[in-house]
Amino acid sequence: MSADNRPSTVAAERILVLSGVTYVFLAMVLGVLFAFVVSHVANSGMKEAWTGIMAAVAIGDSTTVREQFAVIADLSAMRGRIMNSHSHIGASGLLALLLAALLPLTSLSRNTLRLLAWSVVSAVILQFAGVLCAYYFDFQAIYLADLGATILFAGVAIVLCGLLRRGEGAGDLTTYVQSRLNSPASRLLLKAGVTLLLLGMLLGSYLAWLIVSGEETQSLSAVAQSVEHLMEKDVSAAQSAIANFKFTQAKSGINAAAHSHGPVLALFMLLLALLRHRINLGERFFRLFSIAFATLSFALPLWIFLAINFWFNFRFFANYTGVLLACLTLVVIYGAARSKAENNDAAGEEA
Amino acid sequence: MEKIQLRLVITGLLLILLGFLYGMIHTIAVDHAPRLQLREDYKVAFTQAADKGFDNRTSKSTMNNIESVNARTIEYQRAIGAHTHAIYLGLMITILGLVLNFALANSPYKFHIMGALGAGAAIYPLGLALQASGMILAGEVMALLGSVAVIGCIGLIVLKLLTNNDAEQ
Repeated sequence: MSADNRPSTVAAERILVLSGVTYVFLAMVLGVLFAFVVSHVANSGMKEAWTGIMAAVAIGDSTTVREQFAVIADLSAMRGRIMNSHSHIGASGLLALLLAALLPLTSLSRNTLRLLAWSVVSAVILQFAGVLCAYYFDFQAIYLADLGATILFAGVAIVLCGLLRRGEGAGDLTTYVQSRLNSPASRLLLKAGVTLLLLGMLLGSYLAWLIVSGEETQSLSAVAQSVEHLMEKDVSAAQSAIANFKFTQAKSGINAAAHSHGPVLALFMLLLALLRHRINLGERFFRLFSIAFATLSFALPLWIFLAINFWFNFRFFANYTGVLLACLTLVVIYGAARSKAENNDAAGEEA
Repeated sequence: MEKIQLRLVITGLLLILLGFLYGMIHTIAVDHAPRLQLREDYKVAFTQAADKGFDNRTSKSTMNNIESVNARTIEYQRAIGAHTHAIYLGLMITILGLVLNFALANSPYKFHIMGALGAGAAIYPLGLALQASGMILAGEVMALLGSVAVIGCIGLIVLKLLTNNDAEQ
Protein backbone atom coordinates (compact mmCIF):
# COMPACT_ATOMS: atom_id res chain seq x y z
CA MET A 1 0.00 0.00 0.00
CA SER A 2 1.27 3.49 -0.76
CA ALA A 3 2.10 5.36 2.39
CA ASP A 4 0.24 8.44 1.19
CA ASN A 5 -2.98 6.50 0.78
CA ARG A 6 -3.31 5.43 4.40
CA PRO A 7 -6.41 7.31 5.53
CA SER A 8 -5.84 6.30 9.18
CA THR A 9 -2.70 8.43 9.46
CA VAL A 10 -4.13 11.57 7.85
CA ALA A 11 -5.81 13.01 10.97
CA ALA A 12 -2.78 12.42 13.21
CA GLU A 13 -0.41 13.76 10.55
CA ARG A 14 -2.51 16.91 10.21
CA ILE A 15 -2.51 17.54 13.95
CA LEU A 16 1.25 17.04 14.18
CA VAL A 17 2.05 19.17 11.12
CA LEU A 18 -0.11 22.09 12.21
CA SER A 19 1.14 21.99 15.80
CA GLY A 20 4.78 21.37 14.77
CA VAL A 21 4.88 24.38 12.45
CA THR A 22 3.10 26.51 15.09
CA TYR A 23 5.72 25.52 17.67
CA VAL A 24 8.54 26.40 15.28
CA PHE A 25 6.82 29.77 14.72
CA LEU A 26 6.60 30.33 18.50
CA ALA A 27 10.30 29.48 18.81
CA MET A 28 11.07 32.10 16.16
CA VAL A 29 8.95 34.72 17.96
CA LEU A 30 10.76 33.99 21.24
CA GLY A 31 14.11 34.14 19.42
CA VAL A 32 13.28 37.54 17.94
CA LEU A 33 12.06 38.76 21.34
CA PHE A 34 15.30 37.49 22.90
CA ALA A 35 17.45 39.19 20.26
CA PHE A 36 15.60 42.54 20.33
CA VAL A 37 14.85 42.89 24.05
CA VAL A 38 16.52 40.40 26.41
CA SER A 39 20.02 39.59 25.19
CA HIS A 40 21.52 43.09 25.05
CA VAL A 41 19.90 44.28 28.30
CA ALA A 42 20.92 41.14 30.20
CA ASN A 43 24.51 41.20 28.92
CA SER A 44 25.15 44.86 29.71
CA GLY A 45 23.39 44.51 33.10
CA MET A 46 25.56 41.54 34.03
CA LYS A 47 28.75 43.27 32.88
CA GLU A 48 27.88 46.31 35.02
CA ALA A 49 27.14 44.09 38.03
CA TRP A 50 30.46 42.22 37.67
CA THR A 51 32.34 45.55 37.51
CA GLY A 52 30.52 46.63 40.69
CA ILE A 53 31.53 43.37 42.39
CA MET A 54 35.21 44.02 41.67
CA ALA A 55 35.01 47.47 43.28
CA ALA A 56 33.03 46.12 46.25
CA VAL A 57 35.47 43.25 46.92
CA ALA A 58 38.39 45.72 46.85
CA ILE A 59 36.82 47.79 49.67
CA GLY A 60 35.53 44.73 51.57
CA ASP A 61 31.82 45.56 51.03
CA SER A 62 30.24 42.11 51.08
CA THR A 63 26.65 43.49 51.15
CA THR A 64 27.14 45.11 47.73
CA VAL A 65 28.78 41.91 46.46
CA ARG A 66 25.64 39.95 47.45
CA GLU A 67 23.33 42.57 45.91
CA GLN A 68 25.21 42.58 42.62
CA PHE A 69 25.20 38.78 42.49
CA ALA A 70 21.43 38.89 43.05
CA VAL A 71 21.18 41.15 39.97
CA ILE A 72 23.32 38.69 37.97
CA ALA A 73 21.24 35.72 39.16
CA ASP A 74 17.99 37.44 38.16
CA LEU A 75 19.22 38.49 34.71
CA SER A 76 20.79 35.08 34.20
CA ALA A 77 17.56 33.30 35.14
CA MET A 78 15.48 35.50 32.82
CA ARG A 79 17.88 35.02 29.91
CA GLY A 80 18.21 31.29 30.59
CA ARG A 81 14.46 30.64 30.78
CA ILE A 82 13.65 32.51 27.57
CA MET A 83 16.57 30.87 25.75
CA ASN A 84 15.51 27.48 27.14
CA SER A 85 11.92 27.95 26.01
CA HIS A 86 13.13 29.11 22.58
CA SER A 87 15.37 26.11 22.01
CA HIS A 88 13.04 23.48 23.53
CA ILE A 89 9.88 24.55 21.72
CA GLY A 90 11.81 24.78 18.43
CA ALA A 91 13.25 21.28 18.85
CA SER A 92 9.85 19.90 19.92
CA GLY A 93 8.24 21.49 16.86
CA LEU A 94 10.77 19.75 14.61
CA LEU A 95 10.16 16.49 16.49
CA ALA A 96 6.39 16.77 15.95
CA LEU A 97 7.01 17.31 12.22
CA LEU A 98 9.38 14.34 12.11
CA LEU A 99 6.79 12.07 13.76
CA ALA A 100 4.19 13.31 11.24
CA ALA A 101 6.55 12.32 8.41
CA LEU A 102 7.14 8.87 9.93
CA LEU A 103 3.52 7.91 10.77
CA PRO A 104 2.63 6.54 7.31
CA LEU A 105 5.54 4.09 7.58
CA THR A 106 4.16 2.53 10.75
CA SER A 107 1.19 0.22 11.12
CA LEU A 108 -0.13 1.81 14.32
CA SER A 109 -3.90 1.84 14.69
CA ARG A 110 -5.96 4.96 14.05
CA ASN A 111 -6.75 5.39 17.78
CA THR A 112 -3.11 4.99 18.82
CA LEU A 113 -2.12 7.59 16.24
CA ARG A 114 -4.70 10.12 17.42
CA LEU A 115 -3.73 9.58 21.05
CA LEU A 116 -0.07 9.91 20.10
CA ALA A 117 -0.64 13.14 18.18
CA TRP A 118 -2.61 14.82 20.98
CA SER A 119 -0.12 13.60 23.60
CA VAL A 120 2.76 15.16 21.67
CA VAL A 121 0.84 18.42 21.26
CA SER A 122 0.04 18.64 25.00
CA ALA A 123 3.55 17.49 26.03
CA VAL A 124 5.15 20.39 24.18
CA ILE A 125 2.72 22.85 25.79
CA LEU A 126 3.46 21.40 29.24
CA GLN A 127 7.21 21.65 28.68
CA PHE A 128 6.98 25.21 27.38
CA ALA A 129 4.63 26.38 30.16
CA GLY A 130 6.72 24.63 32.81
CA VAL A 131 9.94 26.36 31.81
CA LEU A 132 8.35 29.83 31.63
CA CYS A 133 6.17 29.48 34.77
CA ALA A 134 9.22 28.32 36.74
CA TYR A 135 10.74 31.74 36.14
CA TYR A 136 7.68 34.00 36.33
CA PHE A 137 5.61 32.21 39.04
CA ASP A 138 6.91 29.28 41.05
CA PHE A 139 10.07 27.23 40.50
CA GLN A 140 8.10 24.03 41.27
CA ALA A 141 6.46 24.49 37.83
CA ILE A 142 9.69 23.11 36.34
CA TYR A 143 8.31 19.63 37.10
CA LEU A 144 5.58 20.29 34.49
CA ALA A 145 8.40 20.61 31.97
CA ASP A 146 9.80 17.25 33.13
CA LEU A 147 6.36 15.69 32.69
CA GLY A 148 6.11 17.17 29.19
CA ALA A 149 9.55 15.76 28.29
CA THR A 150 8.52 12.32 29.60
CA ILE A 151 5.35 12.29 27.45
CA LEU A 152 7.35 13.42 24.43
CA PHE A 153 9.84 10.62 25.11
CA ALA A 154 6.96 8.12 25.19
CA GLY A 155 5.63 9.52 21.89
CA VAL A 156 8.96 8.98 20.11
CA ALA A 157 9.24 5.49 21.67
CA ILE A 158 5.76 4.54 20.35
CA VAL A 159 6.67 5.59 16.80
CA LEU A 160 9.94 3.66 17.14
CA CYS A 161 7.97 0.55 18.16
CA GLY A 162 5.61 1.14 15.23
CA LEU A 163 8.59 1.18 12.86
CA LEU A 164 10.16 -1.91 14.43
CA ARG A 165 6.91 -3.90 14.12
CA ARG A 166 6.03 -2.84 10.58
CA GLY A 167 3.20 -5.13 9.62
CA GLU A 168 0.24 -5.01 7.26
CA GLY A 169 -0.67 -1.48 6.30
CA ALA A 170 2.76 0.07 6.72
CA GLY A 171 3.77 2.19 3.73
CA ASP A 172 6.51 1.28 1.25
CA LEU A 173 9.51 3.57 1.85
CA THR A 174 10.68 4.05 -1.74
CA THR A 175 7.21 4.90 -3.06
CA TYR A 176 6.65 7.12 -0.05
CA VAL A 177 9.81 9.18 -0.61
CA GLN A 178 9.32 9.44 -4.38
CA SER A 179 5.77 10.71 -3.90
CA ARG A 180 6.81 13.20 -1.24
CA LEU A 181 9.67 14.64 -3.28
CA ASN A 182 7.95 14.79 -6.65
CA SER A 183 7.38 18.54 -6.47
CA PRO A 184 10.27 20.80 -7.64
CA ALA A 185 9.79 22.99 -4.57
CA SER A 186 10.34 19.97 -2.28
CA ARG A 187 13.52 19.05 -4.13
CA LEU A 188 14.71 22.65 -3.84
CA LEU A 189 14.11 22.58 -0.07
CA LEU A 190 15.92 19.23 0.13
CA LYS A 191 19.02 20.55 -1.66
CA ALA A 192 19.05 23.82 0.28
CA GLY A 193 18.49 21.98 3.57
CA VAL A 194 21.33 19.50 3.14
CA THR A 195 23.72 22.24 1.95
CA LEU A 196 22.87 24.41 4.97
CA LEU A 197 23.37 21.39 7.25
CA LEU A 198 26.88 21.00 5.86
CA LEU A 199 27.73 24.69 6.27
CA GLY A 200 26.36 24.73 9.83
CA MET A 201 28.48 21.71 10.73
CA LEU A 202 31.60 23.21 9.17
CA LEU A 203 31.07 26.33 11.28
CA GLY A 204 30.59 24.05 14.30
CA SER A 205 33.96 22.38 13.58
CA TYR A 206 35.65 25.77 13.43
CA LEU A 207 34.14 26.69 16.82
CA ALA A 208 35.18 23.32 18.26
CA TRP A 209 38.72 24.01 17.07
CA LEU A 210 38.62 27.39 18.87
CA ILE A 211 37.54 25.60 22.07
CA VAL A 212 40.24 22.93 21.80
CA SER A 213 42.87 25.59 21.07
CA GLY A 214 42.11 27.17 24.46
CA GLU A 215 39.63 30.01 23.89
CA GLU A 216 37.15 28.62 26.42
CA THR A 217 39.70 28.11 29.20
CA GLN A 218 41.24 31.53 28.52
CA SER A 219 37.81 33.12 28.87
CA LEU A 220 37.13 31.41 32.20
CA SER A 221 40.64 32.09 33.52
CA ALA A 222 39.87 35.81 33.23
CA VAL A 223 37.83 35.45 36.47
CA ALA A 224 40.89 34.10 38.29
CA GLN A 225 43.00 36.90 36.78
CA SER A 226 40.56 39.48 38.16
CA VAL A 227 41.10 38.00 41.65
CA GLU A 228 44.87 38.19 41.19
CA HIS A 229 44.52 41.89 40.29
CA LEU A 230 42.36 42.45 43.38
CA MET A 231 45.09 40.88 45.53
CA GLU A 232 47.49 43.41 44.06
CA LYS A 233 44.90 46.17 44.89
CA ASP A 234 44.58 47.02 41.18
CA VAL A 235 40.81 47.47 40.87
CA SER A 236 40.75 48.86 37.33
CA ALA A 237 42.81 45.90 36.00
CA ALA A 238 40.41 43.55 37.81
CA GLN A 239 37.45 45.32 36.20
CA SER A 240 38.98 45.10 32.76
CA ALA A 241 39.73 41.37 33.27
CA ILE A 242 36.11 40.75 34.25
CA ALA A 243 34.88 42.84 31.28
CA ASN A 244 37.04 40.62 29.07
CA PHE A 245 35.42 37.54 30.69
CA LYS A 246 31.94 38.86 29.93
CA PHE A 247 32.86 39.79 26.34
CA THR A 248 34.43 36.41 25.52
CA GLN A 249 31.46 34.60 27.11
CA ALA A 250 29.01 36.63 25.02
CA LYS A 251 31.15 36.08 21.92
CA SER A 252 31.23 32.31 22.31
CA GLY A 253 27.47 32.28 23.00
CA ILE A 254 26.70 34.26 19.84
CA ASN A 255 29.12 32.15 17.77
CA ALA A 256 27.33 29.05 19.08
CA ALA A 257 24.03 30.64 18.01
CA ALA A 258 25.42 31.17 14.48
CA HIS A 259 26.34 27.46 14.42
CA SER A 260 23.05 26.15 15.83
CA HIS A 261 20.62 28.23 13.73
CA GLY A 262 21.91 26.83 10.40
CA PRO A 263 21.24 23.11 11.09
CA VAL A 264 17.90 23.84 12.84
CA LEU A 265 16.59 25.83 9.86
CA ALA A 266 18.03 23.16 7.55
CA LEU A 267 16.10 20.41 9.36
CA PHE A 268 12.93 22.53 9.17
CA MET A 269 13.40 22.85 5.38
CA LEU A 270 13.98 19.09 5.00
CA LEU A 271 10.82 18.35 6.98
CA LEU A 272 8.80 20.87 4.94
CA ALA A 273 10.06 19.09 1.79
CA LEU A 274 8.75 15.76 3.12
CA LEU A 275 5.45 17.23 4.35
CA ARG A 276 4.74 19.41 1.32
CA HIS A 277 1.52 17.51 0.57
CA ARG A 278 0.11 18.54 3.98
CA ILE A 279 0.66 22.24 3.20
CA ASN A 280 -2.11 23.44 0.96
CA LEU A 281 -0.43 26.20 -1.06
CA GLY A 282 -0.23 26.45 -4.85
CA GLU A 283 2.90 24.88 -6.36
CA ARG A 284 4.12 28.15 -7.91
CA PHE A 285 3.54 30.05 -4.67
CA PHE A 286 5.22 27.30 -2.63
CA ARG A 287 8.22 27.40 -4.96
CA LEU A 288 8.58 31.16 -4.41
CA PHE A 289 8.12 30.59 -0.68
CA SER A 290 10.84 27.91 -0.74
CA ILE A 291 13.32 30.19 -2.51
CA ALA A 292 12.65 33.02 -0.03
CA PHE A 293 12.79 30.74 3.01
CA ALA A 294 16.01 29.05 1.86
CA THR A 295 17.70 32.40 1.14
CA LEU A 296 16.78 33.81 4.56
CA SER A 297 17.83 30.57 6.28
CA PHE A 298 21.31 30.89 4.76
CA ALA A 299 21.43 34.59 5.66
CA LEU A 300 20.45 34.35 9.36
CA PRO A 301 23.49 32.38 10.65
CA LEU A 302 25.75 34.44 8.39
CA TRP A 303 24.55 37.75 9.90
CA ILE A 304 24.91 36.38 13.43
CA PHE A 305 28.47 35.23 12.71
CA LEU A 306 29.42 38.52 11.03
CA ALA A 307 27.85 40.55 13.87
CA ILE A 308 30.05 39.12 16.61
CA ASN A 309 33.23 38.63 14.59
CA PHE A 310 33.31 41.68 12.29
CA TRP A 311 30.73 44.44 12.65
CA PHE A 312 28.20 44.41 15.50
CA ASN A 313 25.54 46.28 13.47
CA PHE A 314 25.00 43.12 11.41
CA ARG A 315 22.88 42.07 14.41
CA PHE A 316 20.08 44.30 13.07
CA PHE A 317 20.17 42.34 9.78
CA ALA A 318 19.99 39.12 11.83
CA ASN A 319 17.03 40.41 13.86
CA TYR A 320 15.02 41.46 10.80
CA THR A 321 15.89 38.24 8.96
CA GLY A 322 14.44 36.40 11.98
CA VAL A 323 11.25 38.50 11.72
CA LEU A 324 10.93 37.67 8.00
CA LEU A 325 11.47 33.95 8.66
CA ALA A 326 8.72 34.05 11.31
CA CYS A 327 6.38 35.76 8.80
CA LEU A 328 7.11 33.06 6.20
CA THR A 329 6.43 30.38 8.81
CA LEU A 330 3.01 31.98 9.36
CA VAL A 331 2.34 31.28 5.67
CA VAL A 332 3.12 27.59 6.28
CA ILE A 333 0.72 27.56 9.25
CA TYR A 334 -1.96 28.99 6.95
CA GLY A 335 -1.22 26.31 4.36
CA ALA A 336 -1.29 23.53 6.97
CA ALA A 337 -4.62 24.82 8.36
CA ARG A 338 -6.12 24.96 4.82
CA SER A 339 -4.94 21.41 4.19
CA LYS A 340 -7.07 20.32 7.13
CA ALA A 341 -10.32 21.52 5.55
CA GLU A 342 -9.48 19.99 2.19
CA ASN A 343 -8.57 16.62 3.67
CA ASN A 344 -11.77 16.59 5.70
CA ASP A 345 -13.71 17.06 2.45
CA ALA A 346 -11.73 14.27 0.82
CA ALA A 347 -12.39 11.97 3.79
CA GLY A 348 -16.09 12.80 3.55
CA GLU A 349 -16.14 11.96 -0.15
CA GLU A 350 -14.30 8.68 0.49
CA ALA A 351 -16.87 7.75 3.15
CA MET B 1 18.01 -0.96 0.47
CA GLU B 2 14.76 -0.15 2.29
CA LYS B 3 15.86 -2.26 5.25
CA ILE B 4 19.12 -0.34 5.62
CA GLN B 5 17.31 2.98 5.28
CA LEU B 6 14.91 1.92 8.01
CA ARG B 7 17.85 0.90 10.17
CA LEU B 8 19.24 4.42 9.87
CA VAL B 9 15.81 5.87 10.73
CA ILE B 10 15.60 3.61 13.80
CA THR B 11 19.15 4.56 14.84
CA GLY B 12 18.12 8.21 14.58
CA LEU B 13 15.06 7.69 16.78
CA LEU B 14 17.13 5.76 19.32
CA LEU B 15 19.65 8.60 19.38
CA ILE B 16 16.83 11.09 20.01
CA LEU B 17 15.58 8.94 22.91
CA LEU B 18 19.09 8.68 24.36
CA GLY B 19 19.48 12.45 24.06
CA PHE B 20 16.19 12.88 25.94
CA LEU B 21 17.26 10.41 28.64
CA TYR B 22 20.65 12.04 29.06
CA GLY B 23 19.01 15.46 29.45
CA MET B 24 16.46 14.14 31.94
CA ILE B 25 19.03 12.24 34.02
CA HIS B 26 21.32 15.26 34.04
CA THR B 27 18.43 17.49 35.14
CA ILE B 28 17.40 15.16 37.94
CA ALA B 29 20.91 14.18 39.08
CA VAL B 30 22.57 17.60 38.85
CA ASP B 31 20.17 20.51 38.92
CA HIS B 32 17.33 22.14 37.00
CA ALA B 33 19.32 25.36 36.83
CA PRO B 34 23.05 24.47 36.94
CA ARG B 35 24.11 27.79 35.45
CA LEU B 36 22.44 29.60 38.36
CA GLN B 37 24.18 27.28 40.79
CA LEU B 38 27.53 28.15 39.19
CA ARG B 39 26.79 31.89 39.65
CA GLU B 40 25.91 31.11 43.28
CA ASP B 41 29.31 29.45 43.73
CA TYR B 42 31.09 32.48 42.26
CA LYS B 43 29.11 34.55 44.77
CA VAL B 44 30.38 32.47 47.70
CA ALA B 45 33.98 32.89 46.52
CA PHE B 46 33.77 36.68 46.07
CA THR B 47 31.72 37.33 49.22
CA GLN B 48 34.28 35.40 51.25
CA ALA B 49 37.04 37.53 49.72
CA ALA B 50 35.14 40.75 50.51
CA ASP B 51 34.46 39.63 54.10
CA LYS B 52 37.94 38.44 55.00
CA GLY B 53 40.21 40.42 52.66
CA PHE B 54 43.05 38.82 50.72
CA ASP B 55 45.39 37.18 53.19
CA ASN B 56 47.26 34.08 52.00
CA ARG B 57 44.61 31.65 53.19
CA THR B 58 41.61 33.50 51.73
CA SER B 59 43.39 34.11 48.42
CA LYS B 60 44.17 30.43 48.03
CA SER B 61 40.65 29.39 48.98
CA THR B 62 39.07 31.98 46.59
CA MET B 63 41.26 30.81 43.70
CA ASN B 64 40.44 27.16 44.44
CA ASN B 65 36.72 27.96 44.49
CA ILE B 66 36.95 29.81 41.18
CA GLU B 67 38.92 27.03 39.52
CA SER B 68 36.37 24.51 40.71
CA VAL B 69 33.49 26.62 39.29
CA ASN B 70 35.38 26.99 35.98
CA ALA B 71 35.90 23.22 35.71
CA ARG B 72 32.21 22.57 36.42
CA THR B 73 31.23 25.21 33.85
CA ILE B 74 33.13 23.30 31.16
CA GLU B 75 31.61 19.96 32.25
CA TYR B 76 28.15 21.53 32.14
CA GLN B 77 28.74 22.92 28.62
CA ARG B 78 29.80 19.46 27.41
CA ALA B 79 26.77 17.80 29.02
CA ILE B 80 24.40 20.27 27.35
CA GLY B 81 26.31 19.71 24.10
CA ALA B 82 25.85 15.93 24.38
CA HIS B 83 22.10 16.35 25.05
CA THR B 84 21.42 18.77 22.17
CA HIS B 85 23.75 17.12 19.64
CA ALA B 86 22.25 13.66 20.29
CA ILE B 87 18.74 15.00 19.63
CA TYR B 88 19.62 17.09 16.57
CA LEU B 89 21.91 14.47 15.02
CA GLY B 90 19.16 11.92 15.69
CA LEU B 91 16.65 14.15 13.89
CA MET B 92 19.13 14.61 11.06
CA ILE B 93 19.90 10.95 10.43
CA THR B 94 16.24 10.00 10.71
CA ILE B 95 15.37 12.48 7.95
CA LEU B 96 18.42 11.58 5.86
CA GLY B 97 17.60 7.90 6.34
CA LEU B 98 14.28 8.55 4.59
CA VAL B 99 15.71 10.48 1.64
CA LEU B 100 19.13 8.87 1.24
CA ASN B 101 18.18 6.46 -1.54
CA PHE B 102 16.68 9.40 -3.42
CA ALA B 103 19.66 11.67 -2.75
CA LEU B 104 22.33 9.07 -3.56
CA ALA B 105 20.59 7.49 -6.53
CA ASN B 106 22.98 5.20 -8.46
CA SER B 107 25.86 5.81 -6.08
CA PRO B 108 27.90 2.64 -5.38
CA TYR B 109 28.89 4.03 -1.98
CA LYS B 110 25.46 4.59 -0.49
CA PHE B 111 25.73 1.69 1.97
CA HIS B 112 29.11 2.94 3.21
CA ILE B 113 27.76 6.47 3.55
CA MET B 114 24.76 5.25 5.54
CA GLY B 115 26.96 3.22 7.90
CA ALA B 116 29.44 6.04 8.45
CA LEU B 117 26.66 8.57 8.95
CA GLY B 118 24.91 6.44 11.57
CA ALA B 119 28.15 5.64 13.40
CA GLY B 120 29.41 9.24 13.30
CA ALA B 121 26.11 10.65 14.58
CA ALA B 122 26.17 8.22 17.52
CA ILE B 123 29.87 8.67 18.35
CA TYR B 124 29.91 12.48 18.42
CA PRO B 125 27.48 13.04 21.35
CA LEU B 126 29.05 10.09 23.15
CA GLY B 127 32.40 11.90 22.90
CA LEU B 128 30.87 15.01 24.46
CA ALA B 129 29.25 12.93 27.23
CA LEU B 130 32.65 11.36 28.00
CA GLN B 131 34.22 14.83 28.23
CA ALA B 132 31.43 15.87 30.63
CA SER B 133 32.32 12.87 32.80
CA GLY B 134 35.96 13.86 32.95
CA MET B 135 37.36 11.53 30.25
CA ILE B 136 38.65 14.44 28.22
CA LEU B 137 41.10 12.82 25.80
CA ALA B 138 38.90 9.81 24.92
CA GLY B 139 35.94 12.16 24.54
CA GLU B 140 37.83 14.53 22.26
CA VAL B 141 39.05 11.68 20.03
CA MET B 142 35.52 10.27 19.71
CA ALA B 143 34.00 13.68 19.03
CA LEU B 144 36.65 14.32 16.36
CA LEU B 145 36.05 10.95 14.66
CA GLY B 146 32.28 11.43 14.83
CA SER B 147 32.37 14.92 13.37
CA VAL B 148 34.73 13.90 10.54
CA ALA B 149 32.42 10.98 9.63
CA VAL B 150 29.23 13.06 9.70
CA ILE B 151 30.66 16.08 7.86
CA GLY B 152 32.33 13.85 5.25
CA CYS B 153 29.08 11.97 4.57
CA ILE B 154 26.96 15.13 4.40
CA GLY B 155 29.56 16.63 2.06
CA LEU B 156 29.25 13.64 -0.28
CA ILE B 157 25.44 13.82 -0.16
CA VAL B 158 25.51 17.54 -1.02
CA LEU B 159 27.91 16.87 -3.88
CA LYS B 160 25.71 14.13 -5.27
CA LEU B 161 22.48 16.12 -4.83
CA LEU B 162 23.86 19.23 -6.48
CA THR B 163 25.47 17.42 -9.41
CA ASN B 164 22.51 15.13 -10.18
CA ASN B 165 19.84 16.67 -12.33
CA ASP B 166 16.16 16.41 -11.36
CA ALA B 167 15.29 14.13 -14.28
CA GLU B 168 17.81 11.56 -13.09
CA GLN B 169 16.23 11.56 -9.61
